[in-house]
Amino acid sequence: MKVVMSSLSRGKLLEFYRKMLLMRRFDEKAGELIADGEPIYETHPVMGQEAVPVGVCAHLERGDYIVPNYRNHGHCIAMGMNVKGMMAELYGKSGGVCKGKGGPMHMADMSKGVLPGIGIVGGTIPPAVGVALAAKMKQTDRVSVCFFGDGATSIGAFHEGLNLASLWSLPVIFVCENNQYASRDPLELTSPVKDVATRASAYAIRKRTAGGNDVSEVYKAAGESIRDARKGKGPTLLEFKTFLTAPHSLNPVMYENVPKAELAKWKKKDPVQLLRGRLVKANLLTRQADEQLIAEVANQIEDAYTFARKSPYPSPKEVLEDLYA
Amino acid sequence: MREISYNDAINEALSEEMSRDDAVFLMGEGVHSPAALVDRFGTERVRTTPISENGFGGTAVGAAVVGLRPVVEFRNAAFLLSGFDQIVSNAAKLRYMSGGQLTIPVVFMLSFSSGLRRGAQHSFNPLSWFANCPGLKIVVPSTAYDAKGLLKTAIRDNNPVIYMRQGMVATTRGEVPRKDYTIPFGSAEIRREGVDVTILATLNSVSMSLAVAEKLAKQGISAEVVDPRSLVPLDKKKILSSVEKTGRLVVVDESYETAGLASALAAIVAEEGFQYLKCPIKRVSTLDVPFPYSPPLEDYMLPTPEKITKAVRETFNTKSR
Ligand SMILES: Cc1ncc(C[n+]2csc(CCOP(=O)(O)OP(=O)(O)O)c2C)c(N)n1
Ligand SMILES: [Mg+2]
Repeated sequence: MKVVMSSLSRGKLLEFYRKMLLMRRFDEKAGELIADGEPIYETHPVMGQEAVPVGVCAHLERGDYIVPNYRNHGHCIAMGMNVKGMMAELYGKSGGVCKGKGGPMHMADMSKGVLPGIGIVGGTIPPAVGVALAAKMKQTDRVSVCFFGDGATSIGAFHEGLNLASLWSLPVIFVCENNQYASRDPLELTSPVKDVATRASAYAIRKRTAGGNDVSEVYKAAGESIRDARKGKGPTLLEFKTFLTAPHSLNPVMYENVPKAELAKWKKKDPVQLLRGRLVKANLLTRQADEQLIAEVANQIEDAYTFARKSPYPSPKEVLEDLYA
Repeated sequence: MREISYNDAINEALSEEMSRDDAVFLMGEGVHSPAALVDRFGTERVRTTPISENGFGGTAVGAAVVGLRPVVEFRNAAFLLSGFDQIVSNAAKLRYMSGGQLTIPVVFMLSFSSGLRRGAQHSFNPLSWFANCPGLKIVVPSTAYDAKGLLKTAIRDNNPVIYMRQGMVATTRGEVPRKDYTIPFGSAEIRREGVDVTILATLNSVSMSLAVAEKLAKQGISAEVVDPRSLVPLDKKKILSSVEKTGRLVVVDESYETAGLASALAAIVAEEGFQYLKCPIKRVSTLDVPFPYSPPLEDYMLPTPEKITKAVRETFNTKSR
């Protein structure tokens, strides 16, 4: 652990921490607003899984792309998307990143390398293979990353995508955020394979499994996979074991029925707390600086909320725009 | 002018477009054969895929989002059912849901077989389904000339295009210029001029309707045959002005009767051209059953010259307004 910590600069770790705080506060705020009856609909929190998007996306550069799934707040913030535009998109306002056309699940910002979040389980995988195919055909060292859950490993798109990427040796990283549940269904009820990464052997691709709650561990595993892809060594199936400590969806509130003991166990490994503890222990963050950072992030989210509230709804006629190029 | 086959016209368009623009490439099962395109462009740009329609359909979408212009050969439209998710949920929707941040210049080439005795699962016409996916454009080339010109336009278009061939049509030959030409989408073609009745027909129904029109001419009925050539966008103007001229409309299309394309086209004319109509619109569609294998059964369910003739006659028999 020490080795990993020291390979990351203080600046980088603090940046990770800030992003994870931002994700956490974004989800908390969304939950509060929904509880207050605000008009925000189907929204999937990333609470408890924040380390994965942060640690993975930290390796991406201009010209790389990610294909997020519907549990996308983390992916979007990790890629540096503006939380004002994200918050306004939750409301379907014209100041939203997609001008209200996408909504919580489908937020996109092509200027930041973020394709629209895909709401169909496994649907992120083939397009990411295509982005990687383009990178290879254009002879660049760009990579693509797609995100999906453990549930997605049973759908055809996963198998077809891995097979194609391996066959053509494409620079794509398949990131499975294995939070052990697909909605209310535990993985063992739906998959004969417990370690998702095992699936890689059927397609002769590289695999890595790492803990998903420790951002340093995520950063390291992702770094190796992304470097391999950039060097032309083909795809990796990268599995992170993690846990969602909020309901599957905030509105409607869905599936809070995971066993309490399991939830409690994972809450002790909360990625934000884990990183904070490490930073404080290593004297990289004082209590005072931490409080200040938390306050700054809270302000940023409040500003985003104010922006979203003030942003007008799109005019109804806009429904017909943006369909064809 | 030189006559070539419909399929050669397609290959010529592919070859010309691939030479014109490095971003264009072809992918699909079996595209390595015939070898002419591979010999010329190599296996990188003429990319044989595994049998994974959802996988390579979606791969094409991703490649298109970041600047390539894939042409995907699905062959039989029925196989595309295994890739439906990527066409419907991603190709058709990503641009819209991103608020117009991206473009998806991809062509999905499909064919459907009817009348070729291929049985229920290999004879599938998804045109009316795709017409219900806003975000896709749909072209229906019924001649070798259109096959080349519409494919070139499809490849240059910045939207996902369904390029639908039909088995019967793909065996035809026709005059095709050697030169580079494109056919704009949304421009219907009057295949035959007439003054008494408009027959609006797609794909294989076009040549069938032309033959019917020739016969009717001898019996004193002058039929105008209109081929929309693209269904999305649709050349409403030309269709309506033909009906304005003739006052009668028969729509012939091989999608199913229930909620099929003929219904949709008839509804447009009923709504926007009712004042021109002398009598009710007639539809000739495919009967609502899966495709049977037995020839007399399959023939009975499809549009035929007899059914078209009967429909035209009925527009004269019903009391005019
Ligand atoms: C093809 C498909 N089937 C079902 C659903 C409904 N659904 C949405 S999320 C979800 C659970 C997916 O679980 P997982 O892949 O593990 O991702 P997680 O939500 O846990 O991050 C399901 C079944 C869907 N969106 N797409
Ligand atoms: Mg899951």
